[in-house]
Amino acid sequence: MGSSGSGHFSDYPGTKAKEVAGDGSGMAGGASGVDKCKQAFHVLLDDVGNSDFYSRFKNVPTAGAQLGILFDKKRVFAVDVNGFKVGALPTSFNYLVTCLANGVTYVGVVRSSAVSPVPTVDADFAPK
Amino acid sequence: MMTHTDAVLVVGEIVVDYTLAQHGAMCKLRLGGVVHAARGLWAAELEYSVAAFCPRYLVDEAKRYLTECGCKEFIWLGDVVGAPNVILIGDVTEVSHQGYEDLMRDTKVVKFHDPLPRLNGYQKILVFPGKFDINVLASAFSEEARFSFDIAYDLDDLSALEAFKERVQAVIISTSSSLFMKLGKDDIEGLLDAVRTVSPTVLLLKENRGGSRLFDLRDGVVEEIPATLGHTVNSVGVGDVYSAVMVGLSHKGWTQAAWRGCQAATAYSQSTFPDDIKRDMQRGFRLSLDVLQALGGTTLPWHDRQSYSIYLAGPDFSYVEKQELDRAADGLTYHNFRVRRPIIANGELKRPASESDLQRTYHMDCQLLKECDTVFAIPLDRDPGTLVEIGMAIEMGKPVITYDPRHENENTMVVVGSSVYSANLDACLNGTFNAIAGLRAKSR
Repeated sequence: MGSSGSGHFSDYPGTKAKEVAGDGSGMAGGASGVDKCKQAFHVLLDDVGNSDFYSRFKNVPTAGAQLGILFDKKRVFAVDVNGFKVGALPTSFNYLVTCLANGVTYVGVVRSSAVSPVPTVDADFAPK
Repeated sequence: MMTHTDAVLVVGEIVVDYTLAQHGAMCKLRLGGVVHAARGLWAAELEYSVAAFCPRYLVDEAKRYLTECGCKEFIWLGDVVGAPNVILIGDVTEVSHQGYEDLMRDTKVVKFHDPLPRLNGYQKILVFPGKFDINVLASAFSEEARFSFDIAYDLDDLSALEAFKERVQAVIISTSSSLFMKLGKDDIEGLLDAVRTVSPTVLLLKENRGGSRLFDLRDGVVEEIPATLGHTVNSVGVGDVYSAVMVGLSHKGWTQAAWRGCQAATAYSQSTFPDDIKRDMQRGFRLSLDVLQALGGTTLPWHDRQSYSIYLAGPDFSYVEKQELDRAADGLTYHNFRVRRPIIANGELKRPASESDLQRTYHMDCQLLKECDTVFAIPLDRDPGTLVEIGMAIEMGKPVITYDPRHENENTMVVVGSSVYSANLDACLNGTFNAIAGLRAKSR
């Protein structure tokens, strides 16, 4: 027996999150301490075969190449150091538009890539 | 009395929401009812007050909490006796019926204070009907007051709003509500006709993961507002936040207000920590409406969902332990999808089956698969029939959503060939909405 986070209301603004002691499973506090905009992420890019980079060079960036993030007013893209679009980020990453609009920027690096059988690029990004 | 021209007065009940711990998720104790709307207004930095019914034991706690959330004034409208006003919540992600349990609801009684507190300092009123007679409240407001109603559970007939006729700005209904089930489940016109009897400016229909539609009843224009589907942390109160922020921003025009309300609701669904919600909401509000509209999202109106068939692939046999399959089927049906279950459509074979029965059933199932627009597969026990159907559907170019709750099929062809592959039903439901919304967008 013990507390399970139900002893009192705890989600007051301005208080930090903490797990409630006891047997279970409660979480108290007003802020979780987690900020999605400030988290690193890994992504497999979409539409690499239709990208500016592939169309121009008939190739994909090699592992280790540096990438950035660009929102072109419609979709979020990974771009190379010269600004060529390498591929689109899946729409589940649309939250990055809000992060970018609030001054967070990201730097990325190609983790692996391949031209065939279909052009693919996967990359790691972290906030600067 | 001081007049609060811009402040929203939120009227309704305050309850205690208790989310049960399950599937590794932590339990959560929160003030609920109109407090969800209050959190949303605070996070949106909009001025508001609360006039509420709640049991006496909650009054001090509610006042204290709401004051911390920027509430200008708390007005206790009356006591709730015979029940603790505690709601137990089973499913926080609303993959299916949420399983709300309103403890001792049959013996609950709302007692108005006599005389009623005056509410005539407010002009922008948002009412969440509950187990109280709204018409008793009508006399407490000023002549200038304008009303919006978010109708969820305790109102089955719009005639209850007649005392407010010509003073109604927005009627807000969710596809989860009993009123929607009664008036608009099959045909939106029935709902629109009923809503017009109280002469509101707009009707907002919240359609869960399929987005929402704002009907401007002055000119007949319909604005589709897409949903932003992500990981749902807690769906409780999300619709209330949508309504509150929309009403709070209505002076900016109903279209902009609805888009912002939707943004607020998304932030509220993704955290139960108020400071996180406020941070994310304020960040989102910095995006222009043009950017928001360009980003889009998932639009799949309730009434369009029956136009697309989902082939339910899985060992749907009477002799198989398949509770995950049944839960998925319930979830899809709850969201008004047209689920085709081959075992139900074409029958379950006897064991052992004759060769002719096998032949006939094979061809009927193949035909059904061809007729369907998408496949929702649940390959429990690595059921070979299901895996073949997944392969056939991939080859036919149909979107395949594979729900693998027991992690039995983590195989290249299954994982990569599926549009969505997950052990999480919430993610698979999002995938289904996205896939069919995509088919709808292509056909327009």
